[in-house]
Amino acid sequence: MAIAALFFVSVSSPLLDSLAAAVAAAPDDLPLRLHLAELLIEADRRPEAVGHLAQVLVRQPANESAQALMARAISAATPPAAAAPSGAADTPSGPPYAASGPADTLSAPPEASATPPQTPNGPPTAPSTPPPPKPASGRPGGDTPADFNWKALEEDLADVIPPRFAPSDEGAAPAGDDFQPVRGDSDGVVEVESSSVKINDVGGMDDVKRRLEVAFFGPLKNPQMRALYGKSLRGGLLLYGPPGCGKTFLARAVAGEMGAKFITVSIVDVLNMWIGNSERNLHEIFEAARRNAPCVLFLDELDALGHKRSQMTSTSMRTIGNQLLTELDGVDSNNDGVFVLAATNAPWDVDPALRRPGRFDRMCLVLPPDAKARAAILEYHLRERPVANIELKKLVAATDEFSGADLAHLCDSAAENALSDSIRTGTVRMIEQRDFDAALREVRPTTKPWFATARNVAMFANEGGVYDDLAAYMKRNRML
Amino acid sequence: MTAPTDITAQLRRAESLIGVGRFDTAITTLGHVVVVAPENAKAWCLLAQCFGALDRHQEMRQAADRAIAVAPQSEWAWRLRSTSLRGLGLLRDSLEAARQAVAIGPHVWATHVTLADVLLLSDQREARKEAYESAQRAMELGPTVPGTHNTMGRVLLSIGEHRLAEQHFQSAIALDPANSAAHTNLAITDLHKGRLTAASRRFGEVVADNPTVTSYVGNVNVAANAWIQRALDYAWLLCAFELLVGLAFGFAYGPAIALAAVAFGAAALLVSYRRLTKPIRQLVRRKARDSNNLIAALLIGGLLVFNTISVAAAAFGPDAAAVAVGPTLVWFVVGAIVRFYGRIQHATRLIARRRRYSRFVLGKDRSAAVPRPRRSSD
Repeated sequence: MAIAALFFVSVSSPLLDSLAAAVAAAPDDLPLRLHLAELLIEADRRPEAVGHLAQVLVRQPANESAQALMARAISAATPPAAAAPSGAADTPSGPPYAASGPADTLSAPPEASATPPQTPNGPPTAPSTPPPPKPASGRPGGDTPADFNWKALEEDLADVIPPRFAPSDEGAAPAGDDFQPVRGDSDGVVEVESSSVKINDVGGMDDVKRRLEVAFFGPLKNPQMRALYGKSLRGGLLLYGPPGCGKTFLARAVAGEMGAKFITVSIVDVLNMWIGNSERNLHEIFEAARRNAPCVLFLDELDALGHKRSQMTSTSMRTIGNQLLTELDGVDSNNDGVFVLAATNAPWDVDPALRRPGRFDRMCLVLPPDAKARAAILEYHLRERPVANIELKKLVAATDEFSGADLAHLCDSAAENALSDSIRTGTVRMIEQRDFDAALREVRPTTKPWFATARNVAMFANEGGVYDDLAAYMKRNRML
Repeated sequence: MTAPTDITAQLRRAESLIGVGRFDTAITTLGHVVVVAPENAKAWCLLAQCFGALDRHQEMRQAADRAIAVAPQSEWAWRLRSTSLRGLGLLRDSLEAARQAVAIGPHVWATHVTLADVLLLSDQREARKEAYESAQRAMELGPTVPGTHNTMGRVLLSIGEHRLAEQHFQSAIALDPANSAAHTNLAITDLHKGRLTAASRRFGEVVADNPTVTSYVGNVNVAANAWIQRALDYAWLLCAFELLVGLAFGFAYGPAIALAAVAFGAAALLVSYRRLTKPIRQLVRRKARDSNNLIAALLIGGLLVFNTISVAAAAFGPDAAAVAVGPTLVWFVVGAIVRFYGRIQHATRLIARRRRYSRFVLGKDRSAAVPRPRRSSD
């Protein structure tokens, strides 16, 4: 940041140089940076001011002074070329701009990646002449000077700050697990991920995999069979189960297996202070998924996003629920290629309207790992740790009802025991069975409270057999 | 420094999270707010609300106290303090805080509800009367708020006016058909009136809607237990009937009538059992295996068999009858005293409560306690 700031201040001015040096020394001193920016604007060094203001807005997006100065800097940054100082003209898009992403909150962003900002080849030759009124063609530039769309050009020039993340080429495959951001709305970006995790990377969960094969992979991989049987790809799958049992990982694996993009959404991504903006956020997220089809849209903690409306006191949350229903139905848009997965620890809190056909009409119970999966998980967490004489079978037997997260915690605790012992005795030793025995006395399965609640659900809320698989599991394990 | 808009955004976010029951996440959000803006009373109040929802009364009290320190004229903060103190069992302080809330916000129905809630914990007649008056005032201020009807219903239930209480709970349900508290309270009145099947069904529905609320789950267990006790009571009465009728009708018809009575009783029990919902039946089966219930069932079953044998023996001669009737009668009388003592005591307590409170609280004119029919547009 400091280097970036110094990069701009190249034209000599003792005061500005001193201030720039001070800013470089204290990059977080925002009032100082604002003051420098103001002086830079007054000195007609607007691009440099824009860089500083962008830095301020990165830290404080709502800073009104910075916004006002940015508006001044930008509005003055598009004068006739003849009037612009040469220094500014030489730096239309340099490295410092690349770090000034959030400045796009200043103005309504363009449609995400649909029309990337275009730099005009040259400035208008007669800016003082007001452009003739034109029917909006939507594209800057024309065949003849008379067709030139001045308004579009001004809009393009106004967006002198490049987006935080470079827009990706249509159809270009991202490399590996890299995030490929897509511009969402004015409050942020939707992170579109390409997952390399495959369904075979998920240990155990054979029942769940079978359900996924029937619901997703089978119809998707066999389009002709799907057409023959009239199977629709509409409808989502709701994964539910105790916390820490791999629902999110499973959703990621589904995306990886399908070769689809992956978008995760949680309540925090959607909530916005302004009435109506949360709904718009949700719409933008679905739009991002549609643009990136095929795409797995994963709604984490669906019980928060689509809470039972009858139990809701907040009207704003109620409207978010309604928006979610609209988006799932795809009333105004086409949801082809958007596969909606959701996960929740509390399916009983999910609005029944969300479980109607065409929405989350299939539910899949994700249980704590079975013995085989527990062995695999333990081996995975111990693969890079110095272990000796661990009785895996004994451990697997002792960790019934443990979730994947509990098993990871158990391994951490055992490692901690060995580490503290090594420090105390001054002799480095391996992680041994006794460390696990000690850890097992401390670590308790976190799934128990969930099953205590689930017991009530299986008993009293299983009208229509929604929770039959849960009831069957609990009966099998003598919990019901 | 955090901009005011950021704080507003965080507060709105916290409110939304509270609205969907995400109290832990809301606490995290509010924690950030109170660090940067400790003078924000709303943040402290929301924080107290979250702690209250999680039954963390000590933390709730601390947050409410901070809110009061920042905004001493906030009736919300005083209400929260009162609720937290009630949760901690400090009733005198809780009452004081509730009165302060009413003094600050006399036109806010919630303050009167809070006061009534605290007063209901006292056994004194004056407290019940004041609770009734608070509930009445709350209803005047919030006639379309289900919570005010619920409070009035609970006050009336506490003074033994089950019929009037039921009407208020029904009013609350009319205003909000999904109101779990009103459904629960209505089920409690059903239970008091002996409508066990209806009560258990209603309790079951409430738990199905709120499986995480432990008090609702507890109510279902109470309903299942009540059904078992009722079944055992009827079995005792059947014993008495069998014995008396069998002996009264003498040798010719006694055994036949006794057996018919047993068959009728068994059929009635089966019908009642079948009318229970499936989950309650499951719960009844499980509870029937509890040692106390099992012993009672064995005793009553044994008595029924013994009675039947006695009546049958009486048909063969007066000597056999005398031998059989003596011990049976002794067994029956002792059993009846043990069995029904608790029941009689409970019924006496209910009558005494009604005599003690109802006239004092409601006075001669009981019409004021009857809810007026309301349209949803009221």
